[in-house]
Amino acid sequence: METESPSSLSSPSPSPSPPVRLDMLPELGRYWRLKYALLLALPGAALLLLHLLLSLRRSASDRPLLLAIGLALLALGALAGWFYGTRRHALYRAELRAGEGVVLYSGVWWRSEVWVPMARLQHLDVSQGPLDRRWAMASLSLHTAGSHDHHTRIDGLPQALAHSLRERLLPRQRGEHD
Amino acid sequence: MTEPDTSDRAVREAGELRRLHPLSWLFTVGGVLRQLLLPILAYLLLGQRDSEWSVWLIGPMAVYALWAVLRTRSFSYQVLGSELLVREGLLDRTQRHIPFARIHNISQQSQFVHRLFGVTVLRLDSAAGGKPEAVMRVLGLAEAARLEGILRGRRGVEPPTAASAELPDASDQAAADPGAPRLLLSMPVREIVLLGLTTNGGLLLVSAIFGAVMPNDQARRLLGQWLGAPARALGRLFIDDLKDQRWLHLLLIGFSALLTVLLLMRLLSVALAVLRYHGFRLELQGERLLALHGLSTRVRAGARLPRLQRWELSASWLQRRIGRCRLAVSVAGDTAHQDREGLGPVGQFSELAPLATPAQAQGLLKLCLPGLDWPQLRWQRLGPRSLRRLLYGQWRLLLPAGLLLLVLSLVLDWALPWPLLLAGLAALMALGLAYARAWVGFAAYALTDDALVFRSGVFTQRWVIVALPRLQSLRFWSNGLDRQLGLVHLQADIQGGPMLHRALDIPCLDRAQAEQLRQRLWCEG
Repeated sequence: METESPSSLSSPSPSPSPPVRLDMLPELGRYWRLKYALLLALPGAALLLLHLLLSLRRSASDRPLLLAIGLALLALGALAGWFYGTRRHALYRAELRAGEGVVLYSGVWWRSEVWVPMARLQHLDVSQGPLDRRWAMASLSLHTAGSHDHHTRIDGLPQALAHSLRERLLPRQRGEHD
Repeated sequence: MTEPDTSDRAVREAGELRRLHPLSWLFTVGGVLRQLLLPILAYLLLGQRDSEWSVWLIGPMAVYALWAVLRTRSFSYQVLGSELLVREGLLDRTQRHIPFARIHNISQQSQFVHRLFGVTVLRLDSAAGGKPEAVMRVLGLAEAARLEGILRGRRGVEPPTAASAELPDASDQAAADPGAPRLLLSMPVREIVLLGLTTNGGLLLVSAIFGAVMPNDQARRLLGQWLGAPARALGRLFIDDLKDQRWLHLLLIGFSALLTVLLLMRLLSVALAVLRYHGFRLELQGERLLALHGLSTRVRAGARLPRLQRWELSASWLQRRIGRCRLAVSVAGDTAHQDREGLGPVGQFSELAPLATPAQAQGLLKLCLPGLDWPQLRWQRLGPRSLRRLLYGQWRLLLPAGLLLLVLSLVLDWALPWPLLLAGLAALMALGLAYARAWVGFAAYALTDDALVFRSGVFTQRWVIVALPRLQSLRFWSNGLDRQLGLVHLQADIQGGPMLHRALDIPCLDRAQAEQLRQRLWCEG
């Protein structure tokens, strides 16, 4: 256990180096914009589908209101999703603090900052989906032994950076763990 | 079983292949049979036609019983040097080597039926948490004690005090040597009754029963038959009184009915507390804590002191009146998800003291955290903005709902007159204000060299203590309202502990305070 000076509230070493913001690929923003636009456009699309199905049975012109609402919802949803994706990407960032750990900032309305200390890392993986491979993008997952926030995932890293980060953060020799 | 030298005995017995208790299959089959028992009884005794399916299951059950016999026969274990080799499986064979150093916890649980046959379930946990490393259901009592002695005796070599390795039956011998268990806390019957009176175990049990009964069709019908007659009689009484406008009588009946239910609940709570905590003893053996309790199901749960991660001292309003509190604890690797094959949450080490005086609780805390000096803690309160955050949080739900009701009552000419609505709204807001003020008035945190203490609560007050070297990751969380006020929620994570909430959650903290805490907490150790 630590037996240091009891009064000091600040960290013992005065912040060794400034935090480095990790590069993110712009493709992540594109992907999120598309994803949320499509997702939020779904209710409108469902209404339009309903209109289509109904109009197959009767003449197409007798439900203009349904058509109008469907189109409006589709446009609004897509727009809102697009905006949300842009905001989310703008606010999403990760920082590397040399020798200390990684900080991930995410969220738009409910924002969270997760501070993962390097000393607590259990293992790291780099994963890539099909789209990620196309854009040479990768996600780095940080695992700690905690029970709630044990998995922190950083999306949108360039592949080379993800691998080099994993090498840098990889837990070296670990002491007796109790 | 009284050889003096554990290691010598272990060497002699190394390599000897051991199997489970010959009656083990009975308990495996019994576990499944218990699920089927109710439908079968319902069919055979009550003649309920829709339980007929259960009879068809008797055939498969016999096959399963045979399978269980074969499987328990195939389970064997062997002590090899400093590791335990467990072999199990019939078609797919598994061999598991468990080094003694990796076994962090050994617990035993014997239900009433187990005790009838003189057997017990032994569970070995590793640091990984979740799935237990090995579950031996069931072993004879002597065999379980022997195995536990070997496993524990080996590991206790590092600390100098444990040179005289704990013998399984050391508790029966004189407590002269330092390796003998030291009694930290025991609860007499009076304390257990008090515990039952001050907790809501009865209510929890009744709701759990309702939860179990309601989805099941015939169980619901059965319950309806039992409860139907008294409920109808009471209802008729109420209706008659309403008709005749005997208000006083109605009030008396309602009040006494409520009182009876409350009394029954408390009695049930007491019964549950006695069942669960009868003969509670907390012992310290070297650096290992051991809790023994239970009336019908006898539990022996243990944890090593360095594995404790988080302490929670709590006192409900009633408990504060009688000068008692509860000290709970989280152990690394004990995630609270129930697992059917293990002991479940009952067998886990989760409480240092179910009910104790504050002085006793402080003594236990001092033992776990020698560096924590409780009276010298410098409490830092939350700022006035926290109060505003709590109030706005209440209003953003209350005001729109109230406004909606008001508009509806004006437009639709509802039965509720608007002055009444306004008065109700004002009363709710006043209550909310009082609650928020009480919360902010008590909530505070204190930081020492190796622990963080956060206290909060209004009716039930809690003091959450986390050891700084045990913290995993930190999380700051805020919504738009928090950011407007410059507040943030600080959440910290530890290994193990309850799955329902995070180990430490300080809401509505000033950003500057949070930053100060972060500098201290992060990268600790």
